[in-house]
Amino acid sequence: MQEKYYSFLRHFSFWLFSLAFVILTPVIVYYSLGYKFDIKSKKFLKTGALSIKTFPRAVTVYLDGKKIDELTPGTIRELMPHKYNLVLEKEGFYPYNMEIEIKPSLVNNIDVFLIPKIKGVEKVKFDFNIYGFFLLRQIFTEKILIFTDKGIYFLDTDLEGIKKVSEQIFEEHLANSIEEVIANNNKLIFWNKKNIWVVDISNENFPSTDTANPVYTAGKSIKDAFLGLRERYLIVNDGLKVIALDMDNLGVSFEIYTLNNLNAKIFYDARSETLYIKDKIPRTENFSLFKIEIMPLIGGRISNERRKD
Amino acid sequence: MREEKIKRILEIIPGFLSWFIIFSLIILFILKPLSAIVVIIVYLLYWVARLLYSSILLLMAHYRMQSKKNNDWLSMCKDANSDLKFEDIIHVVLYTIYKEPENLIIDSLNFLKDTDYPADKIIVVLAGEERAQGAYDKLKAISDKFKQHFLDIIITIHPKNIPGEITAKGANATYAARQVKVYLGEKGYDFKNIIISCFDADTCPDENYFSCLTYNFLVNQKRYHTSFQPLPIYSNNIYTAPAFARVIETGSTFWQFIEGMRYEKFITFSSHSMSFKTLIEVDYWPVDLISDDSLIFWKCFLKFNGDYKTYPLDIPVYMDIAVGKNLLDTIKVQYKQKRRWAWGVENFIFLAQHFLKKNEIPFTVKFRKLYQILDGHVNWATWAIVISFITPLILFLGKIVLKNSLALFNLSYINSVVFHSLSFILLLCIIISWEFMPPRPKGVSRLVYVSFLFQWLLTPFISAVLGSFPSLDAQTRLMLGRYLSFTPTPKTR
Repeated sequence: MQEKYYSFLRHFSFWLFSLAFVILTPVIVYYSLGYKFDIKSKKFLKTGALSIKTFPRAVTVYLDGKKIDELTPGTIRELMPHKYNLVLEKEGFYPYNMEIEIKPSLVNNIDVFLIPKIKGVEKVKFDFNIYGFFLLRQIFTEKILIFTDKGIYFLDTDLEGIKKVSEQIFEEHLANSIEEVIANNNKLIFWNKKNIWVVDISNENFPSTDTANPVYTAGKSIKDAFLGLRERYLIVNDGLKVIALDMDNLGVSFEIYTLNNLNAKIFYDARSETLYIKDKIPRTENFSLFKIEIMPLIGGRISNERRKD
Repeated sequence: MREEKIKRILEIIPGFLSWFIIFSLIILFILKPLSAIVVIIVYLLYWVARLLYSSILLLMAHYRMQSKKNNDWLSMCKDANSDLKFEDIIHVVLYTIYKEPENLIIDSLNFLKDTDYPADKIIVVLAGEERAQGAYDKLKAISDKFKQHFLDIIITIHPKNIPGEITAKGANATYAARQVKVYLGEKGYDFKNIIISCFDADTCPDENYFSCLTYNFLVNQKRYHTSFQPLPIYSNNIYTAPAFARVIETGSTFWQFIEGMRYEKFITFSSHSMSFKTLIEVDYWPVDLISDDSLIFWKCFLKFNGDYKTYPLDIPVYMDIAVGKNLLDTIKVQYKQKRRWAWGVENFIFLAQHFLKKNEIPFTVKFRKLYQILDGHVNWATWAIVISFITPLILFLGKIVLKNSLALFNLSYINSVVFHSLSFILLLCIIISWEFMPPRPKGVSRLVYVSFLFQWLLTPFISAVLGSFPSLDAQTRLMLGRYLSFTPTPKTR
């Protein structure tokens, strides 16, 4: 190709892009600001936009009953400012219906999580009478603990793999009253407002007892309980005092703090072995926060004893 | 005194404009965020148009180079319809040498020896520096090795501390060219028939370079008003250079490739060739400025009252990618090299000062040329900063200030269009760059091609950090009067 053709082509491209820039820039800027030219009224109208994100994607959008060509995620532009009825539909999910408002030069951002329609309900394969259940989360596993008329069982979360862990039977009203369950060192620790039970799940030959005896009965009402002191003790707020129950030697307990008020609350931080107590200040109406660091106490005593020796 | 003041004002202009663009966008966003968004949208659209136009030029340049690829330039020289005789044409190839290692210069001379052009028509000038210890002995040893291959080899040693000179390549080249003039005069050569090529020490010409150059010199009616520019391809050490350095230098090649399509804007860069007669007439390369390669063009432009052009030869010369001792050092070397190139903004001051005294050149031509230099340098210093830093910053802060603004929403969309345009031109570069690749040396794994492909992912980072910052640095130094000293790029293999 001769130089003059290159020159022609180059100049042509230059003027083409320059012209495109000069013509399109005002159009794009106006469009970006939300302006739309209405042929009927021969006026520039200010519009807004609707940006829709959904989970899952590819949802059909209806705006005031009119189907939009584009599936989600997407943006609908040039919408006249007023209220619209928005319907999001996808097969297998409940339709999502809402009212939205479009304002001039603004984008209404909609982010919707669609709920799938319930198709089938799974049931455990056995027909025990289940009184109560708890989901137990540990580092790597997740199990369902069920209290039944035939004893206590573990189940996998897919409702398979049933395993009996205790022969002990909790009556329905007791099983329903259980507030929390902790699995620790082959023991199940659980409590209701009044009692604390510990069930040994290490024994393959289940103990013959078929009645559940509590390891502790509260003076007033069990409010909070935490595993502490290297997970050896259960730290319990029983409404009147804070006691530590030895989980390895059942029946051994220590009162570590006397509470001043029934509305006192405790929190035990097992990481730092620190007990926090919200309790009433004696002879006042005010509550305050107290802290007892257990490990320095133990460490201090040991070093004192060594000094005495 | 008045001239000094004018010079200072001219030195301030490019840096001031670049900083003005950067700060005005930020200040405008603080005062009127919506207006700032509109300005950014216009700016981004301008770059989309510019990038797409550059893609067209790149494709055209590639097509033009391909169409010339199979020309038998030497036969064409012999049959050229010209008032000069091919047999009378003598080439002077001037290598400016500082501390480059001997093996690098030997490689360059081997390339020169192996070109298809008759070596007995080539005079080699090894222009060393007195500042480099043992320069003469080193060049003498090289000369002895190659003497029998060329018409002659001349060694010149540029004395240090000549009054009025700065330590720059131009001073060395000028000193050597003056020696060559004496030599050629003594030998009775007609300067009209001499073509001089000023090469860096690592410049390895393509085998067709001198025959192509000669043909274009012979047939060009305005050969004494024309410089001839090869396509600089940085590939001599491409298999050992770090990926980011490869991307930068390939980018430089493509920039020259695109610039070569814009004849009226095209100026000399790095290694170039021209008539020796013209070189003498314009009193050689500048000795007191850094950007000798481009300033020689402007000297000629002024000398011939605007009647001077640079002709793109579309034939490559192969050069080294600037590398350091390690990765960090390579970043430093690249940064300094790019800053030195960006110091080419001094062309604006040089030209504007001379234009004030030159009434023979029409005002519109003067204005166009000054605008061309300013536009190039100010855009170089700002575009990557605006696109890579200011636009994302405005998008981020805009979400806090303007929340659901439609303009902000559309800005993010247009911003993605810019990046798609960049990706398109990048894709073209990737495809075309494979053609410039030298053969893979023995011992280098084929896996290196994988890194050659993925190296382009570094482009956004490189364009931001090593694109605009060196240029802004150079302009700021000029603006503050903290002049740059010439830093030669280390050449090691």
